[in-house]
Amino acid sequence: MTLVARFLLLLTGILALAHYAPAGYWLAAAKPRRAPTVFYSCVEQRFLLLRSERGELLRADPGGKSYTREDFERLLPLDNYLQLYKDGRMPKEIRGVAITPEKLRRERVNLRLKPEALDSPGAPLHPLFESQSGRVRLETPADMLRLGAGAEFIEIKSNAVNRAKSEKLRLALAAAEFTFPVSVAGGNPTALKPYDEGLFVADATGSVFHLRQVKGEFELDRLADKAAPEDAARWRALQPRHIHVQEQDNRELRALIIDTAGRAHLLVGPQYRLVTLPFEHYDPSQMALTVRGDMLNRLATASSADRVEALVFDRDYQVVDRYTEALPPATAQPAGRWAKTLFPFTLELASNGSGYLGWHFEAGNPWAWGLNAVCAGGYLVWVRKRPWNRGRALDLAAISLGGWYGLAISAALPGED
Amino acid sequence: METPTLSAAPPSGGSPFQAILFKEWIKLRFWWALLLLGSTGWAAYLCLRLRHVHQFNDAVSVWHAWIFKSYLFFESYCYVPLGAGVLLGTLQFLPETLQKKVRLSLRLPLGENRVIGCHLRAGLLGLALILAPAAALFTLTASVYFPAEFRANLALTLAPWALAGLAAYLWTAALLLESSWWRRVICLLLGLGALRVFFQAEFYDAAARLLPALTLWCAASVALPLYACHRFRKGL
Repeated sequence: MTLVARFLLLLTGILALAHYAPAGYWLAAAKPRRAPTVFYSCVEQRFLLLRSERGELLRADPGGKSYTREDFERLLPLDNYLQLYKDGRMPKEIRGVAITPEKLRRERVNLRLKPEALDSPGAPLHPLFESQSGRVRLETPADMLRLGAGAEFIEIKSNAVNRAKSEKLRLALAAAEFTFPVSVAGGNPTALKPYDEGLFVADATGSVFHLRQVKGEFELDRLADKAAPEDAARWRALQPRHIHVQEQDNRELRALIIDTAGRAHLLVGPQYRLVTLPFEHYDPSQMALTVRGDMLNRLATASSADRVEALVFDRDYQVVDRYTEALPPATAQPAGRWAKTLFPFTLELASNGSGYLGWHFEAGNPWAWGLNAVCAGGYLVWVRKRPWNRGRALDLAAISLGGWYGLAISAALPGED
Repeated sequence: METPTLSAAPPSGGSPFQAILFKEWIKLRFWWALLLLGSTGWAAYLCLRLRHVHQFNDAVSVWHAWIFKSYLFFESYCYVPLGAGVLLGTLQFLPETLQKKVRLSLRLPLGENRVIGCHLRAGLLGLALILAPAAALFTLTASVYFPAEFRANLALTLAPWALAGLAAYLWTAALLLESSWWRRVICLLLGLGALRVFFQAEFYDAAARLLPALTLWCAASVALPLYACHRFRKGL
């Protein structure tokens, strides 16, 4: 019992120090590190960067040339059109395309997927909107669609299954040869959107279906069957891991799909074209993915604190240009190097890549492990004239693994001779 | 507070645990009833508030608040198990240590581990009985207004709070039985640092992956009061 108690105290102390000491250190030492925001100038057809350094916004190009705010806005007229119209500096056409405020607004695309969205808690309940209710605005449905081993509607007010509606959906799914259980489902649960795209649902085999409710009837399409012949085979091979739906005014980008291999795909247009984003460094568990678009281009950016990668597409989704920048990791900065040496390991509960709390350990550098050996040696010298027992052996193990964390706890709670 | 009679023999020839449970019941029944009333009363208030929210708001909004914003309606109960654990541990062991009554218990022919183990079992049982009606009320209310998924979310959200209560009870007992003030302070800091982890989740189910380790840690915490008692008996 004594050993168990001592083990528990040492373990609790080491983990508490590994969690709180680095957190305190970074509160004092951290400097903001943000990936630059990448823009693509439709005027000069090259990348521009907006960096945040030492609390100031720096506007530059990848070559390092700085720009004034006015120049920056002039080079990015489709991103800054409100200001340019106000100043009377907005061009009437760009690259032969006539620019009007109405088209500018309608053609803007903005889609963002955070890495934790791929691994976050959630209930398998989805509102299936009536897509064509005839009302001016979308109305949140009074039931929820439960998707899992089966599919059924639950009336929210009565908290009871709507058997008639569920049976109707079951027949529609059976007719479409949908195989349960559902592996992934994606929809946009808000009524504050320009229209309703419905749900994209992948069945047990990975086949993706598009489910909509139109005037009370279910429309269910297997995308491999609806897509153009050149895309059908790719749809059949796709194994989705996550489906993100965010309706846009121009109805062009219908969904963003991350597959089990970590590739990102856009679902484009009425023919369900599958456009794979050819990133070289995209890691969906660590990087945020944004897709922005305007009348002339689409810009897909994957970014984390360590790297940013951007791809520019024309309106036919052919890659026009790409930009990659590796940012100095936190451990390359002096504070980071010191942290790696000072702390044998750190423990964090939250992580950028997950909505779940977990035990996220990060080891220190070889110097830190050398420091552990010094601490263990110091402990042996300290106890050399005292009787050796199992408690001392436990302390030594704690100090060898936990370094000064273990030494601090052993010293604060000395064992018995 | 009545002073119970210390006896190794149970009142009607039962087991030593029954005898100690009876002794602790005599000592704590008033405070235990108060804690039960407080916990259950607060839970009942939260259930009534959920009913009110459901009646006066659109049920659809209530469900959306749960599914997409993680609003579980019972969040303000989170520190009740912790408070109950600390209070019950204090009420059970403070008189024992202040008046050195624990020395008498340790002289019983049961062995120190068994005696303190019986005290802890009695306390943990009492704490579980304080928390159980609240959990039952939450589950019952949730099953009226929400589907099974909500109850699963609720269970995984309540579990770390309940474990924190049990751990707080054990650490409080250890702190009070510990004879060295320095060790009390260090153990208090360690306990506070560790118990904070039980309340880190900001979304339902977010602590699900911590639960196995937290449960093991709570179970291992039983060793602390036994160790403190061992030190107390040896006069360390």
